[in-house]
Parts: sequence; structure tokens; C-alpha cells
Amino acid sequence: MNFKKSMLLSALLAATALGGAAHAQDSEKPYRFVMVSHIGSNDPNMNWLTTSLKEFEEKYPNVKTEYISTNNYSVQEHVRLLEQAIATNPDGIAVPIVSSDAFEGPLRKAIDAGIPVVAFNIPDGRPEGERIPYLTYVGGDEYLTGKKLGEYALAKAEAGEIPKPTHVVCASHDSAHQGLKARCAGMKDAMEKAGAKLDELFIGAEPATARNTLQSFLQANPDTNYIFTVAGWSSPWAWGVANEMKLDPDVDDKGMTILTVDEGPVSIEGVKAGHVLATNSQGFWLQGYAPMEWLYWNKKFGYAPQSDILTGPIIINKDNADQWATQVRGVFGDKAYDEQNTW
Amino acid sequence: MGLSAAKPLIRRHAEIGIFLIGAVLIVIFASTSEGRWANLYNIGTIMQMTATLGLMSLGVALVIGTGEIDISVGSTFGMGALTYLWLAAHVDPSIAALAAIVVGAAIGFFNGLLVTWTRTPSLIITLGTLMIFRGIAIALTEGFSFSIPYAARKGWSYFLLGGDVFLGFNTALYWLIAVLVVLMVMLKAMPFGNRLLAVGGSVESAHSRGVRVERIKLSAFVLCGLLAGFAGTLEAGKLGFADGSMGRLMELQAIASCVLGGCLLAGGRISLPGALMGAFVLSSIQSYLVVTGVQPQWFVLILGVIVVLAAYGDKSLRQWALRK
Repeated sequence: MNFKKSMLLSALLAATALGGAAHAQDSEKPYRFVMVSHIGSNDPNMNWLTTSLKEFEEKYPNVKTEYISTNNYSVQEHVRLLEQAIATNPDGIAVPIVSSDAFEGPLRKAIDAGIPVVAFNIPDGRPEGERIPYLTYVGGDEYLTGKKLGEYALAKAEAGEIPKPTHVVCASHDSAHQGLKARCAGMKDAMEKAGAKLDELFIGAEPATARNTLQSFLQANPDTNYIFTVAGWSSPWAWGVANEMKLDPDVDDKGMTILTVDEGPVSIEGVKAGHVLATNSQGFWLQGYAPMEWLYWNKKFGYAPQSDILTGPIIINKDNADQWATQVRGVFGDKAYDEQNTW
Repeated sequence: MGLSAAKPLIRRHAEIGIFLIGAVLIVIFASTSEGRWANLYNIGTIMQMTATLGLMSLGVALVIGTGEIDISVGSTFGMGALTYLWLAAHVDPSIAALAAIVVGAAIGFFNGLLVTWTRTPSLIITLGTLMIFRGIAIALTEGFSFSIPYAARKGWSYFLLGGDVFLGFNTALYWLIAVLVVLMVMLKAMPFGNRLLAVGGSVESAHSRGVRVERIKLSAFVLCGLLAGFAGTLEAGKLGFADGSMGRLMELQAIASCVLGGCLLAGGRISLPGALMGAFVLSSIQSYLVVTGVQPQWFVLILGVIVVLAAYGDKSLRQWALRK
């Protein structure tokens, strides 16, 4: 028994020592990962990504991360940045696939040269066999954003906290944006299961036009009792129109119910004030951290995820809005947070 | 003694300054970037950027030579890129490229006509057309972009029009060399060159010697538009993608390349190799900042400071050369 015990202890010590030696060896092997982003420093959302990269470096001191982007965004400029990042021969690249046609050439060259690539925030939207052969996609899912928000609203309606939906309008500021259309499609599928109909409405991005368009729609369709704005900043416009039309747009068991998206200050403060039922987060922080971690695991262990990694949607409602507000204030800063709150 | 001997050479060749600055920057960038800047892949990327910016700069240099300026080239570049990709999806890319060049030349003709007929400063006219054609490019692509999938961009036409590399460099670079040779011959061995610089030196004097000033200016604008349209074609050929933002702010880089390269904004003196070296220096600085991981919020500021320092160094060198 004692012999067995001491053998076990010796084996444990040896394993620990070997593990320690291996760890020491690993910690000496430096890696450099580059994130070539479409989000410049003029967008507060960049802070989600740069903060997560900083925290990643603290956890993995042998890894250096670099964040490359431009404040003068264009696909032309983004591809140049990507090519220059590839030229530095990094150990891994994280990049949003803004245009698969433009990004495929340089990314295939990088992958052929042995540089692992993780897509973040925007995937290659083509069918699986045609996609750029990146390691994985880390980011949100636009269809699920609409669907999960719809299902959340239906659950609340079932509980009697808000009215049951009869007619939903999905208000979009960009009629050609596939991501926004997918959000509407997700909401439509959720609502149609409950017997409610959904119409997509192009309201534009200009406040006066958007308000007029929405007002005309609500007058022509008086059975509409849910508004889903597919951008957070248009939710105050929707609430304002419904309020002026005396449609009781605050969150209660009567009148109009408003849903929106994003973890921006407008959306969160809308929820906190009781103007908006719920919004969502696509897990921006994770979209910085998780690609780096997967690149690290791929380099160190050869691990490769066999499916996309969805970082959202996460529903933000009145129960967790305060916690989200604290997080967003920490990332954006109080000044930027307050400036963006247009309620 | 040795340095003083270089003075007459620098006085005669205004572009020597930018070549010296380029050489100094190459040494600094190569020695401070741990091999990230000075590697074949990155030099290939810089050369591709130099090729498209350089083609634009050559055209702008011709217009500057006449004492005018064309700041609409960024939009002309964008229109060329859009025309090419829109047509290349339906017809052979070589025909699409010809159409894009014609569109560029037509924009140049429009600019030249407005400048020579109305006698309004070219700065104002081309500022207006910069906005007009950028507006058209944005309107044409509202809500979508023009693109051709990577797998479909195969064949000789795509290869030749910036879609691939030859001997490690994008084929756009070989077009740039060919265009430089043709323009150098035009400037040095044909009457057009003398007339162009004569118009820029003194309109009255050129006119009194029988030079058709308006026609020369119009030709310079047409060539400038043509080259910008062609540069847009080559960029679109490489990316397989074009939207309303293509070529944005490249007009400023093209003008900066010319000025750094020894072109006199008042007209009468240009250097085509100097303008190309200016384009190479700007592309190299931009690349250096990216490969060394400069944060995006500092990028434009540092780029601007380096350009100002390079321009100041060039000017100081010329002043030194002029001193007895």
C-alpha cells in the first residue's frame, strides 16, 4: 500500500515536473497573432476588441497580439492592411470576411503558407464547400438574433407581461443589407409560429424620413402591435412615433411593444427606462478573445473546431440591463456612453 | 569638396532629393522592422500599391506640368474600377478594361473642357468633379458592390490586368513601367513634351510661339483621366471587388507623390521618375506603419509627420544645392 502510494506520488511528481518543463518551454515560445479589423478607433466598439486582446495577452504572456484597422474604411484599404499583415508572417490572423470575393485571394495565400486564419464578426456567407478554408468563424448569427428575440417576446406574452403579437413590423434602415434581412427573417419565423404576421419596412437612416415612413405604416396597419428595429439607434424613433400616436409604447401588458438589437448605450438605456422590451448582445468581447484563443490552441495543440463558434445572441432585458450598462461604460467610457444615449 | 560636386547634379535633377530620401527610408525601415518590411511578399505588396498610385501620379504630373491641377483623379479611379468590374462580369475583361479607360479619358476630357472653356481655376473645377463622380460612384453602388468571385477570375485577361503576379510582382507593375517608358518618350523625344512644359512655364510665351495652349492642357487632362481609369481597372482586377469608396483620398496621395518627386506646382517642371519614387515612398511609409503595428488612432498622424519631414528634407536639399 505504502509502495503503491509512493509510486503514485513519484509518478505524480514526475508528471508535474514534466508538465512544468513543458510549460516552461511553451512559455518561452513566442507567438504573434494579428487581428485585421474593419472597426477603427472612431468606433467605440473597437474598445471591446482591444480590451479583450489585452486581457488575452495577460493570460498568455508568450503571445503578442496586434490590432490593425483604419479609420478611413474601405474594402480596398482593408485588403491592403490584410496583405501587409500577411507579409509580416504572423502565427495567426483573425479577420472579418467583409467581401469573400476580395478577401479570398490573399487569405488563401496565407492559409497555403501555413498561417491559420479565424474569421470573426462576419463569416464567409457562401455554402460550406465554397468557403474560404479558415479554421472557424467566431461571431454572432443574424438570423438567430431575430429568432431568439422573437421567442423571448412570445414567452413574455405567454406569461401575460406584454400583449400577444398580432402584427409585427421589422423596421430596417438598409434594404440591401443581408444581415439585417436575416434578423427580420428570424423574427418572422418566430412570430409566424405564434400566428402573428410580419412585414419588413424600409425606413432609411435619416430620422425625419424614418419617422414619417413608420407613422404612415402604423396608420395604414392599425393592428400592428410590435415594432422590431434592426438597429439600436432607430429604437427611440420608433418609440417616439408610437408615443405621438398614443399607442402606449412602454413595456406593459397593453399597446405597442418595441424590440431592438445591439449592446450599445441606446439599446441598453431603452431597456432600463422601460421603453424597449429587450435587446441583444452578439458578444463583441468574445469576438476579440475567442479567435486569439483558438489560434493559440491551434498553434500549440493542433486543435481545430469543427463548427462555427457563435458568441451571440444573448438577450438583454430589464433583469440584466444594469450589469450590461456597467460593462459597456467600462469599455466605452462614461462620456462616450452618455453621448450615445439618445433617449 | 565631394558633396559640393553633387550640387550641380541636384540643381539639374529635382527628383534626386526624393531618391535620396527613399534610399534613407529603405535602410531605416529594413533595419528597424525585424524583417517584416523587407521581405519579398511585402515588397510585392508595396510595388502593387506603387503601381496603381504611380499611374495616377504620372497623369497628375502631366497636368501639373501645364500649370493646372487635377484633384478629381480619386473619383476617376473609382469610376474606372466600377466600369471594369461591372462589364467584366458580362464581356471579356480586356474589353471591360478598354471601356474603363475610355470612361477615365472622358472624365479627363470633361475636366479639361471645363477648365479651358470657362477659364475657371482647375482646382475648383476638379474639386467639383471629384464630388460629382464620387457621388455617381456611391449612387451606382448604393446597397451593393460590384464583384467577381475569386474562382471566376481565371484566364489571360485577368492575369494581365492586375489579377495575378509575374516574377513575384503584380502585373500592374509591368504596366506602370510600360506607361513610364511611353510617357518619357513623349516628353523627351516628341514636340508634345516641350509644348507641355512651355505652357506650364509661361502661357503667354508659349502662345506667342504658336503653341495651342488649350489643346495641350486638354490633352494633359485626357491623359490624366485615362491613366486614373486604367489604375482603377488594375486595382479592381486585383481585388475582384469595387464599391463607391474605391480610390477615396488617393488624389491627395497622387499630388503628394508629384510634389515630393520634384514637380513644381506652378508648372513648367515635372519629373515622372520622381513622381513614381514619391508614390513608392508614400506606399512604403504606409506599409512600415502597418507592419510595425502602429495603433490605428496614431496611423494618419504619424504618416502625415513623416511626409512633412520628407518634404522638408527634400526642400532643404534643393536649397543647399542652389547655394553658391
